[in-house]
Amino acid sequence: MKSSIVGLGLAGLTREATPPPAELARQAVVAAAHDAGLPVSTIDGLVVCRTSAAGDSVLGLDLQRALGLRDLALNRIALCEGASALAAIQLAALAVSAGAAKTVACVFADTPVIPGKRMSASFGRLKTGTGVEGLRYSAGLFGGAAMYALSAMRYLAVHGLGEEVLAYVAITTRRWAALNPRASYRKPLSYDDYFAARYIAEPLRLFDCAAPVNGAIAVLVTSPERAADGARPPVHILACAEGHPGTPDRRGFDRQLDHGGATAARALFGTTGLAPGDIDLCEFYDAFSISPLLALEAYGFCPAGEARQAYADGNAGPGGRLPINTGGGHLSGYYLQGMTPVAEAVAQLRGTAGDRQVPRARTALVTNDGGRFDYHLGMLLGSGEHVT
Amino acid sequence: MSFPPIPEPDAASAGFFAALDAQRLELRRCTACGTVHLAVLVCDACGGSGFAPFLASGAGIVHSFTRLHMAHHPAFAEALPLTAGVVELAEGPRLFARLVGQGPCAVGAPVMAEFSDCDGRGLVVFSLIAG
Ligand SMILES: [Zn+2]
Repeated sequence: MKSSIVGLGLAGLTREATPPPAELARQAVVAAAHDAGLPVSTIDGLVVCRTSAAGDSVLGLDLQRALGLRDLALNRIALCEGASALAAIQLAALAVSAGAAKTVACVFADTPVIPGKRMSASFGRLKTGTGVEGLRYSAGLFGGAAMYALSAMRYLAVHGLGEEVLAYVAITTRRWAALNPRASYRKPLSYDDYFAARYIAEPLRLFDCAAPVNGAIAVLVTSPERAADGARPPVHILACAEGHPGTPDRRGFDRQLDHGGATAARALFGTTGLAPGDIDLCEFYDAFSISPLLALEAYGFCPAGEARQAYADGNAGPGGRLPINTGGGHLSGYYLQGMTPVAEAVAQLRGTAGDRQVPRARTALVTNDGGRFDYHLGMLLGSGEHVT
Repeated sequence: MSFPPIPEPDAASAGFFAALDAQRLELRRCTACGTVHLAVLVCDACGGSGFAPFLASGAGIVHSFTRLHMAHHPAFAEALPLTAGVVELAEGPRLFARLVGQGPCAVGAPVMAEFSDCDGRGLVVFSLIAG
């Protein structure tokens, strides 16, 4: 796609009270420019990801004014539910490679954590809904956990698996988080700890659910030529693809398990000539523990129903052959929707991931899911060793 | 008395909810290819837009389910843990619904529709069939 990520900026990443999303977004963009060694005024494009999950956060096109940016060549809101971050970066990459803009900032910000309140106050809000999709609320299925639980329950039933499969994911992801100073939960999680935790929505327990934070993440996208002069090792965008299955909900189809990654994978591997075996690490969207299992299968790393092996034999964890969610993901790291896996992939491919650095990390797969697995984007990122 | 939230009908589901408000579960068969739908404007199987409504048998199986351990709405506060999921009707379409009754809940378990009136709006839940 002839574009590269040259700046990464983080703001907040806390469960304490923070400024509103618009201010966090401003701080993250400034931090990303600083990280890239560029003045903020270099930015000539802005793509803002807006979240619908946590509700009232207001973040819009007027971020331009907050940043004091004049004469932007691109200013856009990217909306693809949880996949909005990769949708934003894809738009930035297309704009840069087409010459429509030179240096584009993509930013996500959210403040779902209200100190002293349960997360359901933000993510389980009352809704009535419209049409037959709204019947989920008549059934009491509020919030993301309830919906992902339907996928998880069916996954376990179809493949004849037990809840320990989900435990492997939560425990492995915590092992990575222990190595990441930015992670929310770093204390080791034992098998007994996992099963002692309360159910949220069966089969999902507390540690099967993301760790929300208030915060913002921004990345700066520019051309590989400009990236070569940057302050940081460039991370190249090798390919980006979407997959939105729209699976009918009737006999003969499986809306619980169909995953947009299958379509995205064909495009990503097809355009790059790469294969699952060429991927050094995966940063999957893991708002719930079922997600990386389905992503591994959708992307062809293993046959359906066998993703647990990557976790059971240790390959997904530190020192393994296929490291997955190396910063602790959403589960133990921090939930900033689609930007969480992007930020970790950038750190790994730059070689700046500290104690959790994956040796010889050259190619990373990053995924974003929205609306469970209905709206999906995948991106292949490469370190400077990739020729673009 | 607090009732569960009942969706507002949209263009695709106007017939479905009108029937449900009259305590009936109505499906629609594509007149071109015979595919049975819950509520659509266009048949995804053939592109047809003609449908003939008919009443569902009310029988189905559990496609997936969960037990929720926290109530997000007062209507469910006394029902915890709340069992709900996706029911696959005998005719093929699936819908979100609460699962009630004493029968064992599992993927594939048989269920039967039960109707109730919520202040003039219809609600369908599915009862797990015992033994
Ligand atoms: Zn048809």
